[in-house]
Amino acid sequence: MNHLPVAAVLLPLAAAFCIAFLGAMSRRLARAIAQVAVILDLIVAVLIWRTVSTAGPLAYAVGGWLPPLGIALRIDAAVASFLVLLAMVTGLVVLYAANGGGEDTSPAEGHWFWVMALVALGSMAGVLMAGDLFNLFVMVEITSIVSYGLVSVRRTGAALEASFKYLVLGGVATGMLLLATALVYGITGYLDLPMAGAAMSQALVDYPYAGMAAIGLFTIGYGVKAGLMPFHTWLPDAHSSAPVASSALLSGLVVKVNVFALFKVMLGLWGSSFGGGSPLRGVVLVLSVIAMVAGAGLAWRERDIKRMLAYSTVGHMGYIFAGFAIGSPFAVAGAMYHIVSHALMKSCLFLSAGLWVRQTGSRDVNRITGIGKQMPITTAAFAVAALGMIGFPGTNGFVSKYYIAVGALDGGIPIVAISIIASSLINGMFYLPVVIRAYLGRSRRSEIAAARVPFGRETAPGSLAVVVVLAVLIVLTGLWPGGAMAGFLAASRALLPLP
Amino acid sequence: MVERIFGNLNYLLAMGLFAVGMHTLLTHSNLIKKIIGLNIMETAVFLLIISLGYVRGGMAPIDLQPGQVAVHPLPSALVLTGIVIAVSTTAYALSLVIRIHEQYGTVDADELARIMRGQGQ
Repeated sequence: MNHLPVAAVLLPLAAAFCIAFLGAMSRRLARAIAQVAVILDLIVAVLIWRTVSTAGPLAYAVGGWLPPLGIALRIDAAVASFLVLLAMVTGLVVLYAANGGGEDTSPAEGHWFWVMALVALGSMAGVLMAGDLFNLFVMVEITSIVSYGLVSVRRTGAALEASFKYLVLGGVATGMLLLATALVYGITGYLDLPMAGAAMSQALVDYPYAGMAAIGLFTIGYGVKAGLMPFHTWLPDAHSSAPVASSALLSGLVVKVNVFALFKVMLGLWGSSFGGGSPLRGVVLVLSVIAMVAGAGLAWRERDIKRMLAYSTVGHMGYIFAGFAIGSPFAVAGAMYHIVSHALMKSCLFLSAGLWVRQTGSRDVNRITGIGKQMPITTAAFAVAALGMIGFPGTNGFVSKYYIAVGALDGGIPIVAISIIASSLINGMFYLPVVIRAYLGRSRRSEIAAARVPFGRETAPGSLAVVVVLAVLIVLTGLWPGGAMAGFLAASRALLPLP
Repeated sequence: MVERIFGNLNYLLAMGLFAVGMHTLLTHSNLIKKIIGLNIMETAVFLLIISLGYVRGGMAPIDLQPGQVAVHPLPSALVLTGIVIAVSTTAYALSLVIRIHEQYGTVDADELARIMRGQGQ
């Protein structure tokens, strides 16, 4: 039997455990273990992906116990692609933080950043693979607790306050998810997703209210954790007050893993995304359309670059929710591809903005005027990712937005396609001025004098290389979406019930 | 009607307790009380899960004699895991409160918001 799926979870957890003990002795040792662990995990993820793409979907019974007694890990083409994405982005962020990083990235508080980044990597892999409701709940909780920690890793006042707010809202969501899991177990008698799903149609006839309550609680619970519009209030504070390496992980990966968990639960239990004919689908669609436009609008108002990026995440989560809620194979594949695109774009934006902040000592977007002349490579990477956010053809953002929009038109919901265009225009209204000002603006002498660090050259070559790799990946996945997109389309056709 | 209420008493009480917890969490501005509210909410869910697996006259499923019935063991195992998660969240929340108190000298959310606003300007 192929034990790779367990390795994808256990390897980062074991490395985190080692760092927690050995890191106190030597910072360099901690950094070395973290870098080796992420590279090994990427190899494991690629091997899983190759196995799945040659032999088809994989089911692994943990400890040899088959469901309903045991826990199953299930990996199809989409999950395998996400595992590679997860390992790649986490790996790049760890390499960035290990090689200097941005002004507020260097894990000054010792080795805890490495521990939490690796635990997040392992637990998010667990969320993606979990085929069992309770296993899913445990993995989501580990991810959440580590995320609260990633926010407050530098223990500044604002970060502590943001972390507490995140924890309180996340705690309410936890209670709801556990309650929903208990209700599903109570009415179907199973925790394994396919088995509970098979028993669900009868259970919904016998206990309609408990079933409806479970659908609602799952949606709200994961909606809070994924920053769906009315429940997003924790997100801008948490993602902007964290050090940029943490922000890249939280904004790039953690929120998306939660949406995917919701999609998996909905599909597994109710056979279609967002409860089939229930009014919930309409509610989620309306909320995601509002999120697309309002998230971008709120980002447009911000002058703090990190808060701008955080609000932009709220907007882009709207795209992903919309794609899943539309529920046609095209839209779902587009939403899955947007998970990939947005993870690459947003981590690239946060990490390159981190290098700017490191050089200028300020998060004010006015301070980066003219920085493109001094830091041309960093600024170019930011510009590529910003174009991706707007959906410029040739970047991966265009591909995923196109698929979601086509799916919306196919599904007879043109309002989603219209709001994707509106949201892209607003994205252009705040991303382009930043890029234009960075390249063409003239920096005033007073601003240069006010900067803490001498304004001037590129910094931290290791971190810069990471940012460049991300920018190159954005263009590559934009020009040749073929392989990954074919996998997502096949996966969503296999998952979704035929109309 | 009465029978239905008594038949589902465990659900109703757990929902009530859940509401009490959420009310505490949302209405109190003291951070410690918010954490207590969170714990009450989680306890309500644990209560519900345990009551799902209850069998009248059931024992713990260890070393059963013939003729004895066992309660359903899986919910108990779930709650055990749930308690571990709740404890670790609570521990982390309390340590955050200690740090916040060190930084700002308050554990009151409203006052904290006032201080943060003052710093922002």
